[in-house]
Amino acid sequence: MYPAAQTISRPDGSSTRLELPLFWYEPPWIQMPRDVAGRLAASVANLDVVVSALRRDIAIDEEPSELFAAIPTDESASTDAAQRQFLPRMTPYRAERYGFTPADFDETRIIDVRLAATRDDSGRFAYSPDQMSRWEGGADGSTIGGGGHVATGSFPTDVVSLKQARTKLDQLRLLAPSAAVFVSIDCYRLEEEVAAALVSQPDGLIVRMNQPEIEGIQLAALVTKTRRLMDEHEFANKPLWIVPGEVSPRDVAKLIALGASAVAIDAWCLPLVRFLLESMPTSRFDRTAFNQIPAVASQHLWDDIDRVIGLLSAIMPHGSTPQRLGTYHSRWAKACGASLLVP
Amino acid sequence: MPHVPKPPQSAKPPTPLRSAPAESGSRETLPNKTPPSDALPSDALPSDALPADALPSDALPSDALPADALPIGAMSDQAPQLDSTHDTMVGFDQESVDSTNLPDIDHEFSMQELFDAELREAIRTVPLPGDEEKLPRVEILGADGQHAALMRIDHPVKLRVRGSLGDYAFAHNSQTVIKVFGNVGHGVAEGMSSGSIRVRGHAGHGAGTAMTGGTLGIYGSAGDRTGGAMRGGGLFVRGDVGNDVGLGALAGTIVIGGDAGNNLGNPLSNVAVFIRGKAASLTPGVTEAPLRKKQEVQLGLLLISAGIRGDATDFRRIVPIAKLAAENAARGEVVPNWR
Repeated sequence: MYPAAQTISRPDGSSTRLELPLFWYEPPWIQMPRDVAGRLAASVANLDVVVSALRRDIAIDEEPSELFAAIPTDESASTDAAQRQFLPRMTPYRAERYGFTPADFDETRIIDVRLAATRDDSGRFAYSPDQMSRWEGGADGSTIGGGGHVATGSFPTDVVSLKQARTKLDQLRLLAPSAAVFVSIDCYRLEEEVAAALVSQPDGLIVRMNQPEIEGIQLAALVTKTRRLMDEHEFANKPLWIVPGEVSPRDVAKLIALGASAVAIDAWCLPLVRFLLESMPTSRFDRTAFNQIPAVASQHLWDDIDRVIGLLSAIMPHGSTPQRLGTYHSRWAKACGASLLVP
Repeated sequence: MPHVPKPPQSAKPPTPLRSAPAESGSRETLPNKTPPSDALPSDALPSDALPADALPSDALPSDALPADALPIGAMSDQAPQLDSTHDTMVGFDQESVDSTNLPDIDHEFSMQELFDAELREAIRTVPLPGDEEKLPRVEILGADGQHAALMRIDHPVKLRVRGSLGDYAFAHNSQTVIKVFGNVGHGVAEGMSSGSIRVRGHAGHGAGTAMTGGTLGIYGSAGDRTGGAMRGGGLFVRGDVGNDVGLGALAGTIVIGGDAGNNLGNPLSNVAVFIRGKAASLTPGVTEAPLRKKQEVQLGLLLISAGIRGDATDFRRIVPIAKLAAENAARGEVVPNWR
């Protein structure tokens, strides 16, 4: 049993269990062929990292990816549907719902209601033609909506206000009875955004702090501040998931000590994506590299994951930040509330 | 046992409509933009049927139900009564004559007696007859403004819902043919992929959001962002719609029988938007254009299908300027203007 396993409660009394406080928030599935993306997603999820994906991101409708399928068991085991296990997956619920299908609700652990627009790789608040074609194109690869960039939505069209969004979250809980429903926001204007997001009574909060201008000390301060704001709004017991930029395993442990419940490891996974793209043979008949994706993923990620587990096992579970963290730098102590140590 | 299978010739009639269709030769007596309040059944617009936030006062365009839109005395006994050929009623009821005859209800479920999951499971397990043309009829009772009702039903049955529902009704449905004798809240038919939903009353904001197929007909008025992020299917609103209709929509058809608010249309989409009334403003990059003959035929068929009375020539289409220019350029090859 991992020391950082967490159970997220839903208002209806049910709960969702996650083994690791790590997730892959925004994988660049569009950069990979569907089959490679699907195999990679399942390989990373098999390491107990929660992977974000829509069904259409990584597979065609007729042949769902391993990430969406039940984990195979030996024949002697019970085949009862209630006993089936699935890989940890989170479902992005964007404002426009492009690419979303009802099957995305099935067996997901987290519904991530994204209340802020996101940029694509080109910096646009838009989805690329390739992305739209993968999500909404026909089986023949035809485009929809003219084949150009499609602007991202800034807010769901069927939500009137953040207060009314509570009804939306309740709806999602009904549609995904196995999932906790989170709301994700940006970290700009944190006080207003956190207060607004919590009005809708989510099961947890995801805050995106992966903007390149955010430095380490600012990241620590933002996490501390977010947790404090959640405490003030009586959300102290709700999970706070952080999407940082470049982080090391030690940084992940520190962020959790500061109040985060889980941390995105996109920065660890992107080199893996690049490696796969470079190593994939051009011939579709050469499946050697494809078959080795699980091993490659484990080789790239497991050492860091194991280090996070080790560090977390040494953190006092219910201690306060000064009890958990110390620093020799007054700036850091002031920024995140760690104990100021005397050298 | 709340599930009460009923024989085809059930003796229990549904609540009779107050203003049942009858033969009449006259046309509408009220302006198109005004949803006639007495065209709805007595239970269609209950003042207390929806929670306070289910259909907020700003859920409908400001002119959707203007208190002064009715002629003086329209609600009095001396006022001209709506004739039965008014499309709101005829369209809604033309498919089935169950408002005047005994319906052959096969099953009856109560939303007051079943939990949501139980209700959905009960509907999903309704046996289908061998004849694919004749769908089993299911009567849903006890609708009283419940949110997130009757979602993700993927079963070819005919549902009749007596009463009003709250937000996000019928989300992610497919195959099911639904009639609602009441209002619905925000986000009705979100993500619907096939089948049809007809709402006799009004709808809140975001009706038909992200629908990918099927038909959504609203015989009252609808709020802002109707048809937002649509990717297919047909959306018909008999009355008025609010602002930002078709926001983020990529494909599909939106037909507006009344007026529209601001920012109608989307310059970067392939959505066919038809409007009979006036739009307060169009989104930059789109323009109004008359229908071509082919579109008139298509729209006429759609209107018949939706039961909306009227001539397709009464409608104009809202089209991206670039798309119109491309159409005209292509048309020049067929109809050279130098002749």
